[in-house]
Amino acid sequence: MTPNADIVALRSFLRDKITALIALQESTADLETFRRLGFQVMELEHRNRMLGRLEFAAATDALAKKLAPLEAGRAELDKAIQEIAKFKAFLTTISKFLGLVDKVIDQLT
Amino acid sequence: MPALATRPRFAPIAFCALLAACATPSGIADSSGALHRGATTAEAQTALLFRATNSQARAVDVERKLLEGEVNAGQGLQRLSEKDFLTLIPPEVAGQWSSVFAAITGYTGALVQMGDPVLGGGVGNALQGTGQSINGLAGRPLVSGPVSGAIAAFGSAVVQAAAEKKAADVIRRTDPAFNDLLQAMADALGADDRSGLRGTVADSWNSGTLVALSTRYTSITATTPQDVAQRRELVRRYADALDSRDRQLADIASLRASLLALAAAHRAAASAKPADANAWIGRVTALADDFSRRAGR
Repeated sequence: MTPNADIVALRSFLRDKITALIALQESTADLETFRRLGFQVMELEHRNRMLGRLEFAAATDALAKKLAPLEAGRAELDKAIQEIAKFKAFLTTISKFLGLVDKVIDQLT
Repeated sequence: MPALATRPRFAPIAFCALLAACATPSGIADSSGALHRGATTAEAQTALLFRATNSQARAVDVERKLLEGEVNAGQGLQRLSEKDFLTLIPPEVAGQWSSVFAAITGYTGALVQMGDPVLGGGVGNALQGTGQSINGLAGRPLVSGPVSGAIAAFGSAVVQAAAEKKAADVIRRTDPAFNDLLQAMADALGADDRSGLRGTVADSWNSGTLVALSTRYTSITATTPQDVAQRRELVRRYADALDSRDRQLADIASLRASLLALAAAHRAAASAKPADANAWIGRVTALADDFSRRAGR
């Protein structure tokens, strides 16, 4: 059983207890018992929420492990963009170089 | 060898125009722009949702402590400490989601750049500049104006087509991982009120806030004007809590639907179906608009 499955099982157990306590609270006619049961439900809910937080954190951790292909795709795209930019810079350099040669020829003639 | 300017000009221009037409974009530019908008919208939606979720968790802990104080009144010291308050989505987890969205929008942003006509246009301009320099060097129009313009348009279109082909290849290869990631995000949010974050939030309302309010309501047994006013206030808060719960659960469901629509849009783009991709992104946008309307309530 994975740790995540343990959390899920424990949450399921707590939820059942909460449901049972709420049913008990609804059926009691004694005010003090009613209030104490209400508080116990909230205490269990607080722990249920702690487990929910752990479960969500674990699910979030798992997301990070799925990012590699996306990052590889982005790197590939970035590289292509850089290559196009380099090609553009190369053409601009040629233009400038030709202009320079042009000036030299002007000076010689 | 005759100068280019002395050759018939029609043929090269027509040839270049034909090739440029062949290199017409396949719709990746439209799809990637829509994907990027969808991803940034979902990111903003998530940030709002996480804040609302933490606010609710804080509110339910306040109710729990108040009820504890009432139930245990006169039975020893009442204590209050930081551990009584639980941040459901701590900053590190919210930060991880931000990192995930940064990876997604970084990827979709790069796709947008690849589909941007400016990318090929820059090369076209550089080619035209090179043609003018060649003419300057020769001292006569070796490369005529129209031919130079056609070469520039051709160069621009070829680079654009190459960039879009590359983007299409990457989208196709990345699609399974992209869908897997977004499905995992959707699962973490939960498909119903018993699973994922949505399940935790539903429990928090049903077994937290609502139980606290109903317990306090029943605890008021007297009928003084003050008691009646307190009961009225608790009934009002209970009714408000029901509405807030339903809205918050709908917000989580909406974000989940947005992520799944984004995954479907990527799949459509990977299958070279830009119209389908845009339809899915339309769904993301509609969900985000609906979310914003409810967030601004």
